[in-house]
Amino acid sequence: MLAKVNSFALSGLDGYKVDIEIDINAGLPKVEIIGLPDTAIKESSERVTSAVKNSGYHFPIKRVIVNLAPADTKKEGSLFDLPIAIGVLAASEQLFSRSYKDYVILGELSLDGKLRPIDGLIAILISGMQQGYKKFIIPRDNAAEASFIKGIEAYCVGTLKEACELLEEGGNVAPVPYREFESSPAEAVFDVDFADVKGQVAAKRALEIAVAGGHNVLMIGPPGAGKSMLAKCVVSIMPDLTFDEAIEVTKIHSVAGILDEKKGIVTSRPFRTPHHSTTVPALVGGGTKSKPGEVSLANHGVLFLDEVPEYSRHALETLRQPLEDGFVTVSRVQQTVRYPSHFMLIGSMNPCPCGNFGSKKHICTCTPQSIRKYINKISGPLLDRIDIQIELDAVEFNELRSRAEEEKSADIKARVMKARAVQSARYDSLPIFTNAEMNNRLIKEYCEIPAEAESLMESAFKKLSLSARASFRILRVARTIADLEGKDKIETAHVAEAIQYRSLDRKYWN
Amino acid sequence: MREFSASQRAILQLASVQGLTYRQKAALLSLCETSEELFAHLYSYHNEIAEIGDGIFEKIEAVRDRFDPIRLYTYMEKIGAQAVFRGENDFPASFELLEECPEVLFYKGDIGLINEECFAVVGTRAPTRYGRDVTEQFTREISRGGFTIVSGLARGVDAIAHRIALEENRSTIAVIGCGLDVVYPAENKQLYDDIGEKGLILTEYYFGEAALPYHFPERNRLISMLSQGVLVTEAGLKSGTMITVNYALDQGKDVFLVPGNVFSAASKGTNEMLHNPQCMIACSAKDVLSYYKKDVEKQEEEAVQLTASEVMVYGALQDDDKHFEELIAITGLSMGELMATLTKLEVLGVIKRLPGNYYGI
Repeated sequence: MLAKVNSFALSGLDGYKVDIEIDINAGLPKVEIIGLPDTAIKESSERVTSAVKNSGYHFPIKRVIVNLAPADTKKEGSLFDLPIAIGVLAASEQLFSRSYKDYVILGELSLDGKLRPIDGLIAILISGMQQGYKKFIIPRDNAAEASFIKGIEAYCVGTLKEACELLEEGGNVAPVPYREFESSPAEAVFDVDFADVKGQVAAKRALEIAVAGGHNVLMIGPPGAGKSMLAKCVVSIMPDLTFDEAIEVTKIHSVAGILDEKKGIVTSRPFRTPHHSTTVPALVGGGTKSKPGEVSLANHGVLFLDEVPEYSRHALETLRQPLEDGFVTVSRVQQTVRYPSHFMLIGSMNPCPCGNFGSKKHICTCTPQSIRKYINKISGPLLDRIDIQIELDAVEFNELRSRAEEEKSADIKARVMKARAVQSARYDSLPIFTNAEMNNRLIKEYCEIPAEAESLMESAFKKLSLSARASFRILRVARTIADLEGKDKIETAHVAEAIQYRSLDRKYWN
Repeated sequence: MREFSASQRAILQLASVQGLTYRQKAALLSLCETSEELFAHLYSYHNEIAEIGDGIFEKIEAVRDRFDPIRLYTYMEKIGAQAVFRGENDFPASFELLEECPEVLFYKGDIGLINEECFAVVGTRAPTRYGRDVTEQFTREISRGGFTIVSGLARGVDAIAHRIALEENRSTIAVIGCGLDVVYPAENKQLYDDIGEKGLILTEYYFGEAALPYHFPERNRLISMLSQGVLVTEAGLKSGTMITVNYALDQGKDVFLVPGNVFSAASKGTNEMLHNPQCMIACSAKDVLSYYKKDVEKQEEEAVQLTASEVMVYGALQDDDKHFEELIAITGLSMGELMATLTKLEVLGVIKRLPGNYYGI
C-alpha cells in the first residue's frame, strides 16, 4: 500500500514542500530512500527502523521504498525521520487514520522513538504558512519557536508513539498557544551598561552618533583602552528589536542551529565576535550546506571585529558586499541562497603593531613602514564604508572624572531612539532607514550645509590633509549629529565635530 | 656629459669596487701614486693588497675587466647623477682636510650648495614626539636664519630636518650612505626626489652600493665636515649620532645638544653628552643662531580672532598637551561644542591633534 506524507525541507531561509511517498513491496527486506538524500537522510532508515520497533510497532519485513519528491533537489538534514516513520506505519496499515494527510510532519527520531529538535523550524513554519499549510506536527523541544507564529496550529509531540496517538485520536492535544513577542532589554542579556565604562566620553559620544545614524565604527587604541568593553555596550543603546526583525534574526539563527530552544526566538540584538582566524565561509556564509555566516548571524545587530588587521585580507574584503547591499549571496554548486546581513560593523585595532604609537607613557618600537603596512591591511574600499573612526587612549583621570556621574545606557538609548524617529520620518518614502544608508544623491538633497561650514571643510581638507572621499562621510555623520540635537538644518558645529571622526585620514599615520 | 680623463676613469674604477671601507681605499691609494698605476700594475701589488684585506685583490681584479666608462656615462646621464673629483673646483674644500678624503663624490642636484653656510641637524631614527617637535622647530628657525641644513636622509630626525628645510624653501644637503641609485630607507623616496630637485644629495659610494652598516659612520664624518656645527635634537645611548658628534669634535666643529627628559631613554644619549665641556646646550634655535651672530627671523604671525570657547581651549593647552577628557573637565564645554572648537582651532593652525586623542599647541 502507498502512503504520502507532507513535509518540508530548507533552502537557505526558505522552506519548500517535500512529499514523502512510501511504498511497501514484496522482496528482500530493505529500506531504499531515493530523491537525492544526503547522508543524514540515508541513515534515517536505521533510526526509523529502530524507533518503530521500540515504539511497540512492527517494521515491515519487506522492501520499503521511500521517495522524496521533488526528486531533483538535493535534500539534507534529519527532519524527515518522523514523516518517514509515520508513512511506514500508514503504508503497513498499523496506523489506520488517514488524518496524517492534513499535517505537515517534521522531526528527528532517536532509536528509542523519542523526538529530537530540528534546525530551521521557524523558517519552515513561516514558509509553510505562506504556502497555505496550517497544521504541523513538530518535536516538543521546538515548541517555543513555533509559539510566536500567528495563524498556524503547531502540535508538539515528544515521541513517535505520541505522534501516532495524535493522528489516531485527534482533538485531544491542543496546539502550541500563541505568544506575544516581547523584546528583552539588551542590558539584561549582555550584562553591560555604558555607566560601567569610566571616562572615554569621546568614544561614548562617537558610538552614540554611530548607533543613531547606523554608521560603522573603527576604534583605534592601545591594548587595555577598553575597546571591547565599549563595543559590547553598543547593543545596549540600540533600539529594541521589532517583531519583524526578531523573526528574521530568529530564522537565521534557527537555520544555523544556534537558537536557544527554550526561548524559541531571538529577543535582543545579536552581538557577534568572530575570532580573527575566521575563514571566509564562516564569515559570510557557505560551506557545503550553504549555512549563514557571521555577517548574517549579526543581522540587525553588531558584528565586532577585534584587532581588524589580524583578519585575513581576503576575509576583510568579502565584507564589502554585505556592508554595501545588506545581504550576501552564497553560491554553491548545489544551490544559491541569499541571507540578509544588515549589521553595524564595529572594528577595533591597535594604532601600530606594538600598540604604543602616540602613547604618552610607552615608547613605540615600530618602524614607519611597519605601521603603514599594519594600517594598510584595511583597504580603502572597506574604509570607505566606515563613517566614524575614533582614537582611544587608556587614561586614568580618576580625580578629574570621579565627580561626574557616568551616563546610563538607557538615557543614551532614549536619545538614539529620538534621532532614529527623525530619520525614519525623513526617509518615509525611501527604502532606507538611517543616515548611513544615504547615497551621494540623497546626501546632496538632505545634507545642505551653511557657507561657513563649506569653507571650514575646504580648509580642513587642505590643513588636515583629509582624503577627498571623506567629504560624503563627514556630511552623513554631520546629518546624524544634527538629528541627535533635533536640528532641522546642519550647522557648522556639526560639520566641525564630524571632521574629528576621521582619525585614519590624519597625516600622522604616515 | 663631460669626458673623464684617464686618471679620473681609474678613480671611478677603484670607486666601483664595492664593499671597501674608506680606510681600505686610502690604503690602496697609498700603495702607488695614482689609481691608474694601481690598475696598470695590479699584479705586482698582489701581496700588498692581500695584506690590506682578504678578497680585495680578487674584487679589484674583477672590476678591472668589467669596468666600462661608456656605460657609466650613459647610466649617470640617465639618472641625472654627476661626479666631482678631489682637487676640482666644486669639490668641498673642507674634505681635503680629512685624513681619508674621498677621491670622488657622486651627487644629484646643486653642488654649489656646499659653499653655503651649512649646519647639520642629526638625531635618532625613532624620535619621540618631543624629538619630532624639537627637530621641526629648531630646523625651521635655523634654516630661516640662513643655514643650509645638512643631514643623512635616514629615518626619523634626519628625514624631518630635510623635510622642514624643503617646506621652508631653504636649501638642504643629504649625505647618504649608499649609491645614488639606492633609496634607503625606501619610505624616503619622495623626500629623496625632492632633495635631488631642490637641494643636493651627496655620496662617496659608487652606484648600486647598498646601505651597509659601516657606511653610516663613514658618511657621518662627511656630514660633520661639511657643516659649521652639528645640532643633535634627540639621541639614545647607542645612537649612531654619537659617532657624528665624536667626528665633529675631532674635526673641531661646534656641537649643540638639545637636552631631554632625564627619564626618557630616547634622550639618554644627548643628556650624557652634555657632560662633555666641548658641547654646547641648545635650548632654542636662538642659542645656535646667536652663537653664529645671526638674527632670529621673527615669524610673522597672523592675528586670528578667537571666540571665548576657543580662547579657553587654547589656554588649557598652553602648558602641556591634554587629552580630550582633560579638556572637557577643564573647559566645561559639552562634547559637541568642544569637538567643534577643536576642529576650528586645528584648521586655523593654532593647535595640533596628536595620536591617541591628545591635543597640543
